[in-house]
Amino acid sequence: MKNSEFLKLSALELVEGYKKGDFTVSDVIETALEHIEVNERNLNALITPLYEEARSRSWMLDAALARGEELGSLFGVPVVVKDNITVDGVRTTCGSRMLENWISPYSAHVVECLERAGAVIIGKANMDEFAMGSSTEFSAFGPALNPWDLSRVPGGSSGGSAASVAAGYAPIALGSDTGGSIRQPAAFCGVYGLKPTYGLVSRFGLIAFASSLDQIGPFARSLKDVAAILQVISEPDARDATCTRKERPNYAEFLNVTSLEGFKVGYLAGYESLEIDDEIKRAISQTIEICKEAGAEIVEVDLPISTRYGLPCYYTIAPAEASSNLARFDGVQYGFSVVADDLKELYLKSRGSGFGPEVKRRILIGTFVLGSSRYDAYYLQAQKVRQLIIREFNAAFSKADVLITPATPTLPFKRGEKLTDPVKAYMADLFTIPVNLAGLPALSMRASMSQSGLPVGVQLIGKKFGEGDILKAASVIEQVVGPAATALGGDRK
Amino acid sequence: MSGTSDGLVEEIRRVAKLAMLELNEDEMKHIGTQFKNILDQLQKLSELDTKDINPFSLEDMEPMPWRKDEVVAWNRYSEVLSQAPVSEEGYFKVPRIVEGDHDEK
Repeated sequence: MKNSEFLKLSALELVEGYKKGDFTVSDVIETALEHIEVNERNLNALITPLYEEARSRSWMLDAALARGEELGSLFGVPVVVKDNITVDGVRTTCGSRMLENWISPYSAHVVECLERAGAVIIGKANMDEFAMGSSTEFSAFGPALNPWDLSRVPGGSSGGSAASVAAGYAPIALGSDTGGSIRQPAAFCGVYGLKPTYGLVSRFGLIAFASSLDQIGPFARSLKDVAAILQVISEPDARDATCTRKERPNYAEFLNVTSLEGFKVGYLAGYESLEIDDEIKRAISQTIEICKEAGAEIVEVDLPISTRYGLPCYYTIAPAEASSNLARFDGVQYGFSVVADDLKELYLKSRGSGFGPEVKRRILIGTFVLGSSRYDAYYLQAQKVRQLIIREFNAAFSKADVLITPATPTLPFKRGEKLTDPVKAYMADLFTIPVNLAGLPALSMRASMSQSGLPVGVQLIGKKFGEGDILKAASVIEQVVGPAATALGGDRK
Repeated sequence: MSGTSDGLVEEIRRVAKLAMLELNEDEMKHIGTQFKNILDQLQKLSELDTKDINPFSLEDMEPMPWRKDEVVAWNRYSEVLSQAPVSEEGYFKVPRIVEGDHDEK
């Protein structure tokens, strides 16, 4: 096998290869690091590549392999981690000048899980500042680009994680999703991106944006890898009080089904007349057709409140929570700070210079909607609308096991296209946002390629803790459309 | 949002002060228009009838677990303090908050 072939293998194929002695961990890690070094000049998918750390870990793992030790489920697998998830001893910037030089003195729960499973963290991924954005253009470290077309954005906020997996830096990555930040970039980069149910994965070590919405989840190029990494990171953790103590199923068991007999797949009533790209509409109908042929019962569902009021509901609640969460960045204990004569000036100037434009905009909106004279009309009303959205999904799931919707209204857009008009930019999350408001799991996956050679994604939404249902339907679809492809190295499909 | 654009600018200044964010004139100008467009969107929420809706219903949620309030040893304070912008003798140091003529020791 040529070394460049390593870049296309899935996580589970790599583990198999190590076990059989086909190649070593250091072979694979070295190849990945060289590939990263060359491609980062264009892609800028990583804020901090971890060359030295990954190298020494690969030698350590090869030694363990030689000693015949028992291997973890992600043994020797390169992983990219979004830069709002902490890794002990490594800087965690959140894509912000505010944390440009902050070295985390502890690891996130998910990172501890990955390391126990034998994974090798090879880099911290680029992202929109504090996970606020849909294009990775709001990173203080420069924009990440889409590996399928360098003139386009990879989506965001976990754009660096999605681009890394699409470009073959690593077979799997971690991102975080508050309103679509895993699923929208996954759709734009043509890979799998799963936002688990609120409460399935511990957020200990995830820098908080909006605590009632945030969730960590995986990116991968195959469903088997999605199931494998979800199994690893969903280990219960008392350090996040919202993390459920429910028993986790064996996610791999939901894969490899060939029939959806007795399974109900819902689709959005009237999606044909929504303002979405024609190629996305076609992908939706093809995906529904695949489920139907596999024996699923196809039902129509209505989500009028979610579709019409999801965005304003989210853009009230998320900034409100962010304005409170980001109050901790005050220039006193850590992070960016200016020299000032008095404490108030220290706060004003440190926050004024440390935060970028989108973060400031959202802190202002959040502070505004929480003001005593606005609270009832904005924040409280949004919380009530959130309840209506939850009810609407409950009604939809009394008819269906899984819903198929667009992941995004458009294909990946050009760089700079939506930088100046925030309201237009917020539209990118139209179909992903209601899922966070209702705390549901959802997967974004590539359903086809557009005529222009761009990935076309669809979204599968499940009931609370219905990750298994999603994997089951997705597995049937993957058997027809194939797993995700890598976008670099002359193998664009 | 009602009121003149001057009123809006004043409102943003007030909110920025509350949020402890210094904004320069250029930022004020940009954020002004965008702020209005965003608030217009948010106001759509008032179209919905939400009478009798409990805004903080937790019927879907698992109850939060209780845990013991235990002290767990953690010995990396120096790493944390070394990242403080200014620290002194194991404490974070900030500009003087109490007004007065006392000399610093």
